[in-house]
Amino acid sequence: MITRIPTGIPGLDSLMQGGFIEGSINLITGRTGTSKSILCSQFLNYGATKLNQKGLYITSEETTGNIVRSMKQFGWDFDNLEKKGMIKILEVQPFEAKIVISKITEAIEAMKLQRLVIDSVSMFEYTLEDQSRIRKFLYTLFKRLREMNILTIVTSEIPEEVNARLSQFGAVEFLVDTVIKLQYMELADTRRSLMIRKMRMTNHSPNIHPFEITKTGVNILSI
Amino acid sequence: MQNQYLISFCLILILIPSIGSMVFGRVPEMFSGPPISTEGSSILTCTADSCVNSLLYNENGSTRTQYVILSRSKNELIVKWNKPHGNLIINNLTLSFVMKGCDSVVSNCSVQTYPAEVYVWGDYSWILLKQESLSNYENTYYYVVTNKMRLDNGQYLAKIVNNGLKPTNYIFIDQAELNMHYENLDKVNENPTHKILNFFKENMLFWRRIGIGIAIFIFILILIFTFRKNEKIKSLFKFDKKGAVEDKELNMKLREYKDLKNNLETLNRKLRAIEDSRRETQKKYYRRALDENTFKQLMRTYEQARIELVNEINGLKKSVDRYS
Repeated sequence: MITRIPTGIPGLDSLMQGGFIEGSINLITGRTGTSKSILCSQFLNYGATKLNQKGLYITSEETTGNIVRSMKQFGWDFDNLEKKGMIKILEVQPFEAKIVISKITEAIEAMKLQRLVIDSVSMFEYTLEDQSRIRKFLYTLFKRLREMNILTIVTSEIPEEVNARLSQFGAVEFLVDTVIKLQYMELADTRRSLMIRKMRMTNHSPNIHPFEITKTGVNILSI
Repeated sequence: MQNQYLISFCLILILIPSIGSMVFGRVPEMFSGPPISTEGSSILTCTADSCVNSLLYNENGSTRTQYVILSRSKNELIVKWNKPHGNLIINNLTLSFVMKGCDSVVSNCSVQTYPAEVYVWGDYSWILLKQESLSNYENTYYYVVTNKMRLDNGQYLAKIVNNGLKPTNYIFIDQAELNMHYENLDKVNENPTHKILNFFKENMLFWRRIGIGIAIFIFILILIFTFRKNEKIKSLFKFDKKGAVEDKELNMKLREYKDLKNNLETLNRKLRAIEDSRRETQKKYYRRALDENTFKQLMRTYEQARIELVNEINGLKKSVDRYS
């Protein structure tokens, strides 16, 4: 019996039979500026405010303050949620790849959280450089998270010059359960769109779906 | 346009008989009432009052003769009969017809009278006195006398009116007879209908002239209505050459303006077609029927065409605005 958890992104759940699979690792990838962070924050905010699910936001690029300020424009009060203990933002340095897993594990156990966002794994990939080391790191991390049954979203960047890969080094997309690719198309009427490139055990939509960023966050549009 | 001419032609067709009837028609008939038949006797008499609208006849053996007195008003009486031979004599308070066969109040048996009709002739004072002997008894003859036609010798002129339309010649009658007739006839008809009719009869010429004027006026209106948009007619009334030239220039500018508007509409249609194609291409891309490169190529082509069209439309709009 597969339990699906609503993502909190309007229009997205209907493309994946109701939401993410409980305890799954889901990759949101895309070039810079394609709204990956907004999606992740919306995912956590929904869990904290609607489902009473605690969430952890691990950031390797942005500061906590920037994240909190950015999310306020959508009406998401991460400050208040942090005070209530529903959300925690944890800054991690890229070169701390080796201790990242233990840090995350400790935080999960301390908060007893159900939702996790790692934004992004690219920085760790840069640090580790080597393909095999990257795979090993990610495999270990994801295995731990699966064992703890934490619904996780990780983000990755697609370099501008790259078309074929879905991540910086082409490793992470093979280790996750879901790959959602975000893209930015200047010539289209709605410039942002996403595509579910892969989702295990799910009859997901094969199409490209335009979305817009509204006052309340990301909204997937119908074709 | 053809219907307009047809309607005008029909109206004119209706008007001409109306005008004709007013000018040449039997006016007296319009104002005369239907004759009322009464039983006659060997002596045909009627009082001045009872003479109006009376049909009197007399049977004389196998011969039946009829005459009608149609109307009378103050100082006016006309009697008509079908055959021209016979005398009409008015005695005292009666109007008598001396009939063939000597069964009359007058001893002179040679006098004959014939069926008659009375017509009112509104612009005259008419009194019928007697008949002139005429040879043609096929026609109808009227004899009228007007008190206005008094001669110096005391006699009055009586007109012989052929069918009541045109006077032919005159006869003379005596004063004595005229006075007698006036006494008989100087009683106003109390019938309201006749009063009204008499009002028009007395001023017939005036009403006829008014009618003709109205008919001509309507005729002119019809002509104006029919030909008001005819360019040839309009040009006849354009005496101002400068005005005509200005009109020509205005017409040219109007044509140019219309052409510009049409071109603008065509370009707008093309723009809408491009927008539709863009939307359709996007849908195909979203449904993965188009790869990314083809999609980008097509969208670039559409965008280029759109920009060119928009520029052209903006240029045309400026030209159109100049005219307005």
